[in-house]
Amino acid sequence: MKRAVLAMGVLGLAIFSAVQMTFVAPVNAGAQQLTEFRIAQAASDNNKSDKDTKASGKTKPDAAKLGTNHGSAVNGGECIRPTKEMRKNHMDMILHKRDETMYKGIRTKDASLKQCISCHAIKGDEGTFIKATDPKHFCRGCHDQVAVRIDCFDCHASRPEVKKDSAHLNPHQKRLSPFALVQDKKATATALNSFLGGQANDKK
Amino acid sequence: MARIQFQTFRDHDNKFILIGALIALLVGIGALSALYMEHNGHIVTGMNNQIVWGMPHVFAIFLIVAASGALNIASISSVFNKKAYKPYARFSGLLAICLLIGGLLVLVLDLGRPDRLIVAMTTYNFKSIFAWNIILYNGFIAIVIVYLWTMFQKNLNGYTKYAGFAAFIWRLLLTMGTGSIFGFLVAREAYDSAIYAPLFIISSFVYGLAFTVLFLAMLEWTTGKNFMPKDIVRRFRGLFIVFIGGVLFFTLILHLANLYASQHHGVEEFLLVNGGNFPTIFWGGQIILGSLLPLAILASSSFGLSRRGLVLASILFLLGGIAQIYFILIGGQSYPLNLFPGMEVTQSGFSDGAIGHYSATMPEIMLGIGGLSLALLMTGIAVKVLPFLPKPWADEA
Amino acid sequence: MTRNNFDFSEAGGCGTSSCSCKSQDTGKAEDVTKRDFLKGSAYAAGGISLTSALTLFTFGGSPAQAKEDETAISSKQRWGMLIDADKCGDDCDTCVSACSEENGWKNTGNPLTDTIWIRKIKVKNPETEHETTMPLMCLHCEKPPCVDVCPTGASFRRDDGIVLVDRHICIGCRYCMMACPYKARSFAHEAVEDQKEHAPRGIGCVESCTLCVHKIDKGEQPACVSACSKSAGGAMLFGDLNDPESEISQTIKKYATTQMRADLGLNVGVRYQNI
Repeated sequence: MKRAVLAMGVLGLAIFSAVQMTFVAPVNAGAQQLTEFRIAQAASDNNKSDKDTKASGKTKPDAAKLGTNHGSAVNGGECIRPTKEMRKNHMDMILHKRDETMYKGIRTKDASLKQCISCHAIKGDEGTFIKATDPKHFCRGCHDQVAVRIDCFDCHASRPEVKKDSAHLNPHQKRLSPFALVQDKKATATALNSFLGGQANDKK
Repeated sequence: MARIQFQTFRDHDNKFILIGALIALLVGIGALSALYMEHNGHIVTGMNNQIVWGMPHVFAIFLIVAASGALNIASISSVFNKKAYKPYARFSGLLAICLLIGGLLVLVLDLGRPDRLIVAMTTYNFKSIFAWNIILYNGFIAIVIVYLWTMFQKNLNGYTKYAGFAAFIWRLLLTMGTGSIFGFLVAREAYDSAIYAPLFIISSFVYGLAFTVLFLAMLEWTTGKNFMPKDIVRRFRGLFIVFIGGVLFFTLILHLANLYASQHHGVEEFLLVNGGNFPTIFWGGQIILGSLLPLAILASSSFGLSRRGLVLASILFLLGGIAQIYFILIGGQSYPLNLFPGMEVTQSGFSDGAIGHYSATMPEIMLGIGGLSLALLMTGIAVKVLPFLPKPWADEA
Repeated sequence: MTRNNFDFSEAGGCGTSSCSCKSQDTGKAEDVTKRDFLKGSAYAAGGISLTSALTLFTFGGSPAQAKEDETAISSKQRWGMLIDADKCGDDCDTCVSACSEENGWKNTGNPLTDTIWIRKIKVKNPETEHETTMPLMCLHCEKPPCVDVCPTGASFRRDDGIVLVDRHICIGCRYCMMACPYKARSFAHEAVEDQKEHAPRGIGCVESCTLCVHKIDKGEQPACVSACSKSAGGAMLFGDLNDPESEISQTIKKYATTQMRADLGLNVGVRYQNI
């Protein structure tokens, strides 16, 4: 009868892992990678924090060429918290703010997604703000690299409001499948490099 | 009494493998359909803002109800101590779990955001019967696994009775919960009736038994051996007659109660007389094809007592069951909401007051069939791996 | 702080004193500059649209007290609306297009699969042949069936009475759509692009009228209400049902009003008059 119990366990495990692999694993795998990424980040931050500051001033003009920017693209001001803290905690901050706004109607700018989007908006080649479907989008720089799907932009606007809006519904646009996590690796690498502190520019 | 001998399923011919392959193919198509629906959104289905639940839900509810009914054989043997059903107790538990998983998978894959399944599992609103159902469904699987364990392991056999009793109560709650999804809808005239809970329970007995009979018949067909001795054919026939009688009784009461209140005359007239396909589906599908015809077959003292008669009746019961759920689900949603009692809507920007239109598309039908196939495939694999089935009986004269 | 946006139609009311005025410019509700303010004053001086200004004067100009951004909403308020069917134009759909413009949903002519937050409806009494037309949207029930049935709690009622969908935890099961007696909700059947910043909406979730919660939180009135008073019959009145002094409370005290499907006992927040 041991065999029976064993096999039943295997059957249960198989079902459980099938569900896991379909729905949960992509997120978890991403989260794990993100953690590793953050650890690496923390280490490199310590080494070249001063380089960072210098670079950020210099790279401004190049940012457009690279198609991305690690600072505030619109205001040119500081982010609400130090970069290091933002990298580590932005998801928790947004999550907290999300519920405050949703349930309590608190609409302060601090950690509001709308404010993130408005400061970190990036202009594309045509001079208009790009959407999250563009791999050069600020958020995708890291998210693509660490394979964490951004759920925000299925519903939220991913760029500051464009005055005249044409089609709201585009039947040809497909949603990002939870299975397709990383899209454009090359663009990602460029974006990430720049986000990490303008190394590419320093070398040049 | 001699101990019942169980064994893994063996000595079958290639037909079993062939059926398995065919079913696996359907599972694959179902999976692709789900992916397609997930990728494009519900625009590729026939479901819309009025008929919000469609074919996937017909299959899901059918399978979930059938699952709780499939456990019935085991309950009769452990709770009511009828020894004749004991050989089928393990299989009954297995079939219940597999049908439930198949049904749940269809339900989950039809969600607008199936990727948020984890939310459904972790965030509950306890006023919602749906939230309770999530707990009832998961709990059912857990309890039946324990129940099966007590049956499989010799030194735990003493607990089978208690586990069986727990499973029996749980399954009644589960079917009641499923029926109450409709019972608790105040706004829709076709629903909003407490009778849906007992109606679903009695219907579950029919569907579950029909699945059991058909699976056993398939085993017989692929091995040429005897899995349903004459005595059990006779008993199954008796159960069927009682159960379908119950379904007809509750269906009658449901409509009579509605017909008594003149405010419901509109919806009843729509469903039973002039509502497009629905009267046909009800009278032709559920009542004649799915209830009276199989009842007539079983009533015949020669054909009704034969294996063939039982199998044919089971097939008809299942078709009737699909028709019944389709009628309840789609028919009930098609009748417009009564926004202004006593008034008629002459114009609306959102099809108010209009009869709903629904035609199922291929992906959603295939998703439903995929779930059904998965349930059967899992059952087929499980009986090969573990001794769920009794040793075939010696051929009778 | 109250935003000093001028609602042209309310010019009379605003001209008086401390009342906070409502923005009409639904398209660019954000960050109204001084210039807009001055422009508004100019119009106010001109004294345009006297009639509606008169109607709205009693409004006190401040149905929604502007709350501080950082303070939470409370159950002291209960936002509601009163729709006067007699003032609702037969073929007018100002409220519908204002809502669509404000919240970014589009009627593409497929009511079966489009998301529709507000629609016009015309009903006839078959006995008397009397016809009535009115807009219909989420009625923001006190005891909303959609909230009761939602398995995850995504469908919820804010303390101030506004019924919303938390799309972050909506799994798209559509049970709320089955439960709603008013067919107020629709399902996003397709991917959505270019949403408004203040009105997130997306595929696979259920959505409905939010009573322009983003505007109410800033002390403004819903887009449909201001549009109706600006360029249509002024059939919609928005305000706090809990405040006995508010115009809406005064009106429902004075005149006979109707709760749609009152038999269901849901105590809706959007009431009707003259139907």
